[in-house]
Amino acid sequence: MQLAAKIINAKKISNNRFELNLRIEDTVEDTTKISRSVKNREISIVRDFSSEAPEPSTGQLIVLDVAETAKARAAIMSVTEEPLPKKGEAVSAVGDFNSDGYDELHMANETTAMQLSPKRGGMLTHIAARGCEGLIDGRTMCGVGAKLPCGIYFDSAKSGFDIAKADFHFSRSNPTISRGAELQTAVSAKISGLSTKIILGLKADCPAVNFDLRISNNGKKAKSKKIHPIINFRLMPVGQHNSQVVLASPPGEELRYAKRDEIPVWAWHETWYFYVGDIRTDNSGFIIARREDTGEALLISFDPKQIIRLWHDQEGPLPQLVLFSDIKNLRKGADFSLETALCPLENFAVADGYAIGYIRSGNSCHIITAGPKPRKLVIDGEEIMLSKIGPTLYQVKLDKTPGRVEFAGNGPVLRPVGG
Amino acid sequence: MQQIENVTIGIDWEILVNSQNTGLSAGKERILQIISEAKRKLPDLEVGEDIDLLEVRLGMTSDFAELWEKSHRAFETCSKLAARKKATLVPLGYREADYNPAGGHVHAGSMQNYIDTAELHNRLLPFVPALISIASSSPSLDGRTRSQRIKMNAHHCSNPMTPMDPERSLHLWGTDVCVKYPYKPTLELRAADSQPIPAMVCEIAALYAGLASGLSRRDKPVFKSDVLQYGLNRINAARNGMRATFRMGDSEITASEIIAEYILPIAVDGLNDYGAPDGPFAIAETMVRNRISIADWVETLVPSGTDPFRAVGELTRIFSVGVDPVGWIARQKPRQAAPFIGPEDDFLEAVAIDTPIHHVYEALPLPRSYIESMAEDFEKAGKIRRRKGKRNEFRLDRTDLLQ
Repeated sequence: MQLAAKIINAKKISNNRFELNLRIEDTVEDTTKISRSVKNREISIVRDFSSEAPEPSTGQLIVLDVAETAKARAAIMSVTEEPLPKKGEAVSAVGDFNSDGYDELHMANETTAMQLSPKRGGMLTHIAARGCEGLIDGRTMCGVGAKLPCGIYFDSAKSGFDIAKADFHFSRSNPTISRGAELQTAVSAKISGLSTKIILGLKADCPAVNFDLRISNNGKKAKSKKIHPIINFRLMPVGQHNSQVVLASPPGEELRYAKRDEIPVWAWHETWYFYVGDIRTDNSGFIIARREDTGEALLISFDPKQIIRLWHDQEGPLPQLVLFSDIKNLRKGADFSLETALCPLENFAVADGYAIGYIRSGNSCHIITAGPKPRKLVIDGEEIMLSKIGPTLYQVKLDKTPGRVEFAGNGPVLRPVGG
Repeated sequence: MQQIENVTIGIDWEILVNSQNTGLSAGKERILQIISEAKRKLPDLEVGEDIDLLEVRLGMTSDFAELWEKSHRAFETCSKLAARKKATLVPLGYREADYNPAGGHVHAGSMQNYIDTAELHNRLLPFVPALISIASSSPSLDGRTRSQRIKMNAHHCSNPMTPMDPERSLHLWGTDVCVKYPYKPTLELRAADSQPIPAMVCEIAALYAGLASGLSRRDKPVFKSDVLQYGLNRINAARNGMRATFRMGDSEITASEIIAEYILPIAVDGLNDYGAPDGPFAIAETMVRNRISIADWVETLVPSGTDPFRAVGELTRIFSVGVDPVGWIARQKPRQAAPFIGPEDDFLEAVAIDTPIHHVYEALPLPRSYIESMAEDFEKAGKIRRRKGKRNEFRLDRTDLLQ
């Protein structure tokens, strides 16, 4: 998120160039209040102004651009270093990794790195193959529209509740750093009397992060409640302003966002709502988003019996993907659970309701498949069975990168690079 | 046809209300507080909200002095009220995203006869691109266009109207006959962007109303009807603003020429009854002479490619200090007219992979038959692929994206 500041002092250096001493006042494109550790901090920048604009003076507004914000953050904030996982282990840690003044949860293994911010409704702010840039950018996930990030959507007219304003919390017993073969950690919040948890699980030898939403109606004065659970992803290549994202649907259709426009070329046309709504999620249970510039992708796997509809924003400036569960009547003492798995991929192929992708670390290569049923995989002519790692997600780990991967029978064919 | 005897003008002036803390919208809650205060301070005006914007609706004005007084009073009052709430009024089409630019809609009246209104609407159509040019203030973030009015809103005042079957056909949006003011039906121009100062709002409004009135006094339309040319001209107007070149019949004419040679004389003639003071179009004449619109001024303040949040922050800062766009326009040297451009780039931009053809219909201000013939030509040239979708509808793929 970018910073907004007020000028304390402006000094003219040359014709249109000024040195500005600024006091940070606010953040733009964020739904969370500015952190106390950032607000009122003073910074200095040099900026060129248009010769036709009035000269800057004390008390005026200055909004820092992305580069200026990064410099300002580096100057005033100490950034927690991401802990490196050792071979054969996963690691999780709590700290301020993106220098927004708030702590995040960081989880990583040899292939995957992800971060979750408990602020703004509990938001996944980053997920990527280790060493790559990623497809979810926390800065833009909490965009101007303040749409629901992740959680439960209540009828706001009745409850006046805005999930984006809900702050989740780490468990008190959550250690600062933990390492192991299989890690599970959670953030939780009490939302409209419902105990809401986002649970993240990561194994040392698996690139997929299990991302589950659990809601319990177990308060002392609990009453039956109608809820509409959703998980909302705002997809944007990290560090990019344009939406270079391609969504790949299970049948193999590509829904492409424009390179040049902030708004996808077709996004505001009403017809696309129905078109996108027609993606058949009830058989395949996954969708993939890919960066156009790096080819990096994120596979989102879900139980098609739980997710009844997949939707993405027709009007928003960012590709936004929402997984809708059915509306539930949650009785007193009842629980609800929505399970998804997120897997970063280096490359993939998709056709006929199935996907094959891969992600590498060192010499080893994880082959990932997604689809409604487990199927035998033929890797370089040899049939191999896979193990389940998510609702519709399967994997096998190989010691080398294969040349050709395909299902026995029809389906996509993948030729990993370097195979 | 029935002449407009007594010219009336109404304005719906949409204004961004930006927070002095972030440069972005002050938010619905604060905007509604400002509007609520404004309604108490300006009971004779209809200040309201329109999708995250403050909208100043002047109601019906029956002379230029009233238009001038009301628009200035409304803007000054709302500016003060906004400042109290730590917000700044930014009356421009430009936003941090290329979406929903603020407009300055003009209601020109008054007509009584529906069929004559339809006729007048059609007579005004050839001039809409030139009005888009002079009123452009919503340059795109990448600097490719001067106005977002290729498709947004302008659609409704750029298509011919027919009185042939009024019972079953819809009113075109731009013609709110018998809707807004009792007994004062008007023709609405929805293609103009918001203007930065009340004086410019008044000029654009008077220009359109004078043009409508002047055209109603003529025996024949000035230009022959050609919907395709108006569409192509609108693309040029949105792309190049006041530097645009249009095609009228077999010849080319620049935006500044069409305004100077046709619109201004007709408007001056038509405005007589409205009581415009001497030189009612001083700013417009300067804009025409220098081929400059407010979009160019915005580009100077925040060049294309500027971080969008930084840009709206800078515009908020500038408007909170005070602006003089008229002085800037007067200081500029005349700019060269841009050559006429075809719709090919816009067509290809509207096509991705698996794009239904009706999306392309919506994305371009051109007749469907022309879009279909363009699709055929592009397919022959290998730039797109046409195929049938699941519902037997045509879908288009851009071949460079397929590779």
